[in-house]
Amino acid sequence: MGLVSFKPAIPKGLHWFFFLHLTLVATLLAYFPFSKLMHMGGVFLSPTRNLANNNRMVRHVNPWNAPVKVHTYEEYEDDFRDKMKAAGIPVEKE
Amino acid sequence: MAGAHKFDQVEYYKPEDLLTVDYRPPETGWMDTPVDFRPGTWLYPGKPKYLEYLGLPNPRQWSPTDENWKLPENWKEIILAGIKERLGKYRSFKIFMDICVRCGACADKCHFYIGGGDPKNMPVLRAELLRSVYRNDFTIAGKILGRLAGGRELTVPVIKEWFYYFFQCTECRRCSVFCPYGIDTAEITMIGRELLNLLGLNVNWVIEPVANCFRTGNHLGIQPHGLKDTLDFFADDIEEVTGIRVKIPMNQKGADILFVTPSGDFLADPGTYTCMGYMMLFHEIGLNYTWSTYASDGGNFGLFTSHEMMKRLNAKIYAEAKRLGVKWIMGGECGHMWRVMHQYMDTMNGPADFLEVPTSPITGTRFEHARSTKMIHIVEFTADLIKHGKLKLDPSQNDLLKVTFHDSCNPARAMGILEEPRYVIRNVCNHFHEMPENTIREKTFCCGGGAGLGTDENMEMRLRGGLPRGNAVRHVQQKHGVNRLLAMCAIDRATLTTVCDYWAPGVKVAGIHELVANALVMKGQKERTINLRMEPINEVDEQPICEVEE
Repeated sequence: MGLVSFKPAIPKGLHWFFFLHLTLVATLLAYFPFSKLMHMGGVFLSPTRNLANNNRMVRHVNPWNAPVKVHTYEEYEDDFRDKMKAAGIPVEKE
Repeated sequence: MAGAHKFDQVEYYKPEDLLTVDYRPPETGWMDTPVDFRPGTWLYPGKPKYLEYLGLPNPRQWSPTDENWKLPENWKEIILAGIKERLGKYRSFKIFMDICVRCGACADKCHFYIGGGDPKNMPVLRAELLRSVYRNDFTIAGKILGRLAGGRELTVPVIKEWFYYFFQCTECRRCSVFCPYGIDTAEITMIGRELLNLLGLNVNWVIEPVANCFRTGNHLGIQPHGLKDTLDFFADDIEEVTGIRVKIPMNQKGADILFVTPSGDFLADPGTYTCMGYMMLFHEIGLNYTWSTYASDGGNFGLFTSHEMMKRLNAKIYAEAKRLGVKWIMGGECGHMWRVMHQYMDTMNGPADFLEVPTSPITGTRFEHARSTKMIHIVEFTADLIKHGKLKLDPSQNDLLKVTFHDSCNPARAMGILEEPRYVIRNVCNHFHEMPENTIREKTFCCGGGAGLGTDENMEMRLRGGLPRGNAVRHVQQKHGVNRLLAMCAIDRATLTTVCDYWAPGVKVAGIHELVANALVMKGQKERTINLRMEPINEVDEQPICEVEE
């Protein structure tokens, strides 16, 4: 605990190997926040992991659902009205 | 540009050459290995007239093999601003850029890597092509440490690399099944292609169908009278086989159901037989449905272009359902169409509050799982009919077929439709054999030609990408004598035909409803001796003797 509170008290008579070991442990602790293991939290954020595949059951609203330019039925019929009539396909405007 | 080259042809590629895959990475590091535009592995760029028609940026003549791609002057600003905008819009993109630990679980799951051996076709490295730019310009560590933190500067060669490898991903999402973080490379590819589109970089096999679809309602550019003719031809064939003339309701107001299918079913065998299957089924149960010439394609190559384009092409579906006053919508056997319908349609162009929750008029089943989108898959509908005993089926009419089932990427992985097709298949034929367990269901292998890559100039990659699937088909062919591969996807039916002819010759491809229709015993039909392909349904004896077996 001394190490974590930055007041290490060193008992006497320790083997040198302990200090090497302690240094490595401390290095690992210090490195850990920058390591790939921190990516573990991403598991809980990943949309493919935390969203149910219920898109047809429930409507998911997109806050920025931007309007787009579409080709409307009216424009479509204007393009093809004569051909549709000739083929006997019902049209809106004769 | 068009016209036959030797690398367009299947015969140009020797199986023994394609089978010797070199998995050794190149000598140089991946950042220092420039992309090589080898014929047969990339697609022709979008023609300027289609870009102009759609209002897309930077229309011009160019080729990936050119030194100068004629990018706009401020191309770098455009891309960086594009990345920034999308990081804010898409949580998936932001998180997938950050969390990958490069563990490599995905590396050998990609069909293009398995069949090609190019390390940049490992999903992890494919994503890294974009992620390295993200690190360099959008993270603190990358800004300070640059290459040491895995960042690299955005340069023209990087853009070229993106173009090559983001159009060597079929967005099949097999890798995402194996990723411990659920990173979906398809989403990264989609964003990558969106960014490329900002510079006018796209492929003609996607952008021409998109332009057609915007104008005529379907990718093939079939005009209303042409669609009517096509369906009339199908009705002729059905009459020849069954003796029954089916009706073809077109743009009918007051129908109960709007039926939408991929336009691939109208054009090419074997999809056409599946389309005939739908028509026979609907006739037999007396369904009050309608085709639409305006919403004449559920498929949506906008998905392979940008989210915006997908929405532009998809808008017609609900609009047409509203105009015709139908109760709900049914969709045919298609792959990526169902990704759009299932995952995006309601969010983009909904709410569909003018429709009712799909309810089968025959069985009374309410399809609660589609209560918001108001659209169900025909396999769900047919499985329900069979379950309630509403269809008279004679599976022995398919006795010459030994069948296996290819789960199409999108219905299987995006929607989770795994059991319904199998249930239907088991009820319409007597010989059904599954492929090995790690190549079906959610682990299914891609056909190698999805997401707009199924064109002939890309033949080498298609054959390489089709190898894992072809190999699994060959396995059941040798073990069980399988001769028919079923798939509920129009692109599968087109591309797997090539894949099977190459890797498992003798196996033909069919849709599920082709077999349904062959097994369907229709009221008032004549004795069925041929199937929808005009082939005899029983073994033809050398000497024809009148010998009828019960």
